[in-house]
Amino acid sequence: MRRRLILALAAAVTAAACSSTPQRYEWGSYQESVYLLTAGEGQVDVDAQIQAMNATVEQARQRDRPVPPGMHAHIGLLYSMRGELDLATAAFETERELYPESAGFINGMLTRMRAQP
Amino acid sequence: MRGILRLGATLAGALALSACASTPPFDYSIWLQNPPRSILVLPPIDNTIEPLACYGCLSTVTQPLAERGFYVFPVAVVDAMMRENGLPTPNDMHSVPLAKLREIFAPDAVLYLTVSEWGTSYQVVSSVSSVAIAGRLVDARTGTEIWRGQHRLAQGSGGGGNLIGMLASALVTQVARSVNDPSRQLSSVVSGEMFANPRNGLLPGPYHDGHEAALTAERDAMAARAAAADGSP
Repeated sequence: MRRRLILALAAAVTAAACSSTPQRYEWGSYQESVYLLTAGEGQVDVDAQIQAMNATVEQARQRDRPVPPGMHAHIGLLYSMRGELDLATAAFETERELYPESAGFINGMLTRMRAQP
Repeated sequence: MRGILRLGATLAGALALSACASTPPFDYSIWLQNPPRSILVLPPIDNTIEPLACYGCLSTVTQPLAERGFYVFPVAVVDAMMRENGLPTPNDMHSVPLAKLREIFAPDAVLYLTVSEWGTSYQVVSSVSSVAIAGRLVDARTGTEIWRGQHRLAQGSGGGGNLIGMLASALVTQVARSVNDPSRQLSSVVSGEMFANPRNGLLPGPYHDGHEAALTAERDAMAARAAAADGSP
């Protein structure tokens, strides 16, 4: 018991000394939404996910912090699952604007979306 | 819930301890030839018998990679696109040629992950969770491996004194599993350690404040090693 305590103390001190930098991005519920969407086997409540993700965007705006890479594209996927292609397009364009690394991917996706009937 | 979190913090500390002390530094010479900005993460190959291992793990890697300074392609979008295009399993997705991935996503690097342990074994009054992940980062243009790493972590819960407390602990762990899988929490620590360990994780990417300094330091260290090698007979 005492040994465990000492180990925990030593670990806590080391952790403080050599890791734990503040997070750059406002993560909100992005990672949880990724899990629910990919592991959910189609059982996910898309509306609830859109709400949760938009709340994260709003929270980031209020705290003046950037949203993580991929998050607006994730929102675009959610809108496209609900058939709201205009909102999906806007979200994909926001992703491309914030993160130019996504341009090739987003451009291809927008082209395919427009080609759909 | 609070108990689980506290255990996690202790674990993170233990990890930091081992990371600072014993792991050999990684050779970043290939990395430095063409440092990546963006990383395409494919859903992990699952070598466990746990059906949630693949996507449980996948949902814990974007955060440490992005905080390390990289553009990380949206993993759920990537997964959905692959599945809709006739690639239902991670094994299928991992076999897509790089040229095709470049055409669709245009990433600088592709991350291939494998989960080899995932889950909780329940004993009478306590449980042990373990997560083990391995990864290979490949230059999307050349196919050259620029980084590889792996990490494993096991976490016991329960066993803290009296019997009623231990029983409660086992119960809480099982409840927590259905709401918020403790393996996912463990996986966050494992992937964080694997990618951000200063000795053998990824060098900081362009969105990281330490990006330029880290690359310069690594280049200097390489030059120093080369000079030392030239100097010795």
